[in-house]
Amino acid sequence: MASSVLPTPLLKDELDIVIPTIRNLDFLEMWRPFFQPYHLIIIQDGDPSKKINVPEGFDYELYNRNDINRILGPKASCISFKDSACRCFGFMVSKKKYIYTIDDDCFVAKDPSGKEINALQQHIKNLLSPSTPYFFNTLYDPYAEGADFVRGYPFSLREGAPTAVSHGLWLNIPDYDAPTQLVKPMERNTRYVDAVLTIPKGTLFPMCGMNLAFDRELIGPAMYFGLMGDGQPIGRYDDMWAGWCTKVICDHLGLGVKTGLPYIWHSKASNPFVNLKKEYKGIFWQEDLIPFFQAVSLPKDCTTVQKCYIELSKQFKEKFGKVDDYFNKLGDAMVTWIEAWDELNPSAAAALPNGPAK
Amino acid sequence: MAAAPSPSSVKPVPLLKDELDIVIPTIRNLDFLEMWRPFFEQYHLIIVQDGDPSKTIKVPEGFDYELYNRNDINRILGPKASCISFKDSACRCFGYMVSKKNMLQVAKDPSGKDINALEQHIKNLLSPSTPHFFNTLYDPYREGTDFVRGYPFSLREGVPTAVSHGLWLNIPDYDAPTQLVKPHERNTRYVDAVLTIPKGTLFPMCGMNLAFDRELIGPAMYFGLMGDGQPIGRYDDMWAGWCMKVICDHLGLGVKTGLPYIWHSKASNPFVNLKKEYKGIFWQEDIIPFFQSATLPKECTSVQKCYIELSKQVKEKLGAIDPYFVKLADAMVTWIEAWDELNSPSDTNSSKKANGAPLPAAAK
Repeated sequence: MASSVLPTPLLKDELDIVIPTIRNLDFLEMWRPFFQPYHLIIIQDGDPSKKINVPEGFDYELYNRNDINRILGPKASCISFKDSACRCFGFMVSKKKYIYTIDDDCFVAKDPSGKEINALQQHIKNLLSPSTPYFFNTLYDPYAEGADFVRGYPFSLREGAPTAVSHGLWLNIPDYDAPTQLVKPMERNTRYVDAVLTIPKGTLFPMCGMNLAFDRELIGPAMYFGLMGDGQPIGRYDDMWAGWCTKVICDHLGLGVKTGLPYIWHSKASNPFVNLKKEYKGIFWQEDLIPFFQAVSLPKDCTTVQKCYIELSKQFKEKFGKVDDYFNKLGDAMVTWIEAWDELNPSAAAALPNGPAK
Repeated sequence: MAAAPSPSSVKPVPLLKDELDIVIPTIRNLDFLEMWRPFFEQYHLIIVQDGDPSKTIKVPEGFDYELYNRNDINRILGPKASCISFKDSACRCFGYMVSKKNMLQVAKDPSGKDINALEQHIKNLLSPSTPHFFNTLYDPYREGTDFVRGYPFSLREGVPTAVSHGLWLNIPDYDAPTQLVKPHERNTRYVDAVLTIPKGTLFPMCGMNLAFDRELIGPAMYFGLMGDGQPIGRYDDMWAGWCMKVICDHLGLGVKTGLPYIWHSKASNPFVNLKKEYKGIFWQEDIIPFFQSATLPKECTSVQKCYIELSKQVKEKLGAIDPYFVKLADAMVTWIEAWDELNSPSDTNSSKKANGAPLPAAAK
């Protein structure tokens, strides 16, 4: 029998798993068979004096708020506090090519045959195969086993574009906003959709940070999760913010974004009343933010992610700075983020003396 | 044990049996209809008989139908019949033109499963589409799902759905080169999703399992000049799909793809297919950028106006590639003229009888 299916590489020395937490890391026990080969970067949110217990046998570095302040100095102002947005600090200090980030209330899901889903393996498959943003393939990911491009798909587009982001989904508690949670508290996502597909160029989407992987070398600097949580007028828009910026930049640079498999099992429904307070302003603001991102265009000389991001921050501040002072702060934070990123990730090949593990 | 579903959660799907026609192009026979009988029997069939008009196509007992062969097409359209392809399933669009119903579904020789494809197509057409922003849980109007966090509220009404594009299990719809390279590949993956193809994105529309709202988009469903006497085949539905999507994007209509699946049982001959597709493989490299960058002026407020404008741009921009495109552009105009003639506002069922009167079943 011809081996048409190559084993998926582990990439264990090329991928970091970034986990923001304020509680504990018990969920890691269930993931142990899948995660143990990998290095973890744990971002401890909230009270830095609390001790977060990491289960035995995992290789990890852990950063609390004191570490973030120490490493970034004044630039630490761009990293959110008391919000899972702080996870992006982990993206910045990582030295690896790929990142997988997952929430601490996400567990291993089962596929319809009852088999446990190796989410990380599927994300790796997604990232290592091209995307197809320029023309929609009706059989979804043409690089999946047993599938291909359909009749009528232009041949010149069949090499695809490099994949920058792999956006996974969730069974059980769906990622709904507060109004929807209030109206449909009992709804559970039980539908397993066996597909990975590329989100077409020019189309935005709501990017959820619960089960997300990306190529840090291709798109890392765009994965800034904004100013949320403590002292900020808004929450639960961190991943949305990163998603809008990331997609605009990916479209500009010719990179692909996939969504679909893998599924994880989302166990904890957050409190919808708390969520409404956090999201409240966002519900109104997004009506203006989204048309901004839909219409934004980046000049040709923005040839790197950083240049794109700085340009975005300029256009954003210009358009929204007068609407609310928060947007001025956010625009500045975007610049601070890029400065911090470049400091911690100089383009020279020399290894970095910064970013020590605890 | 879950509580009984709330009354509003599961609505019976309307049969729409007086509002929907099933259009079937055929050159062989209609034996496959036996398998679809439980689902199709309540609907009116429009059978477009391709090839030799003197051959009798036997329709299984109990179906309500009208049948048109080439002689009928010539009689009804006169000189305009030139826009309807011969010896190619593209002739199906004649059925779209003569139908008096709002919504149509095309069935092409499947050997069925227990999926009520028609019911799913109807569900797709009767619920809105979401072309302006991608919902990561796919069709938000399906039971058990919704818009996700971060989906702008102002876009949650969606837009009217013009097209429902179904898929196929077993023999996938591959082009000739792919068929030659992977003759044994079968599509065994049932993807339980319906999704809207975003605005600004084109796709390869397959005519095998397709439903659409004739009132919203009918005139755009012209399947081009293919088959006998033409330099190309197997691009009929592709052509219709490109034109249709550009027009839907312009008019704010939605196109869905995904469920339902039908079972595609017959693999066409890849060598024959290669001969038919050959020119298309090269031409599409220019055709697709043309459609991707086509823009329609604001004054194009109806499908017909959009289509006529497109035909002008086709002639202007693609005419240089091959004289075929000049013919095709002219045929696009002929099609719209024929459509408007057969579908004038004063048209009623009685005038339909005068034109496309069905052949008596027993006629030889």
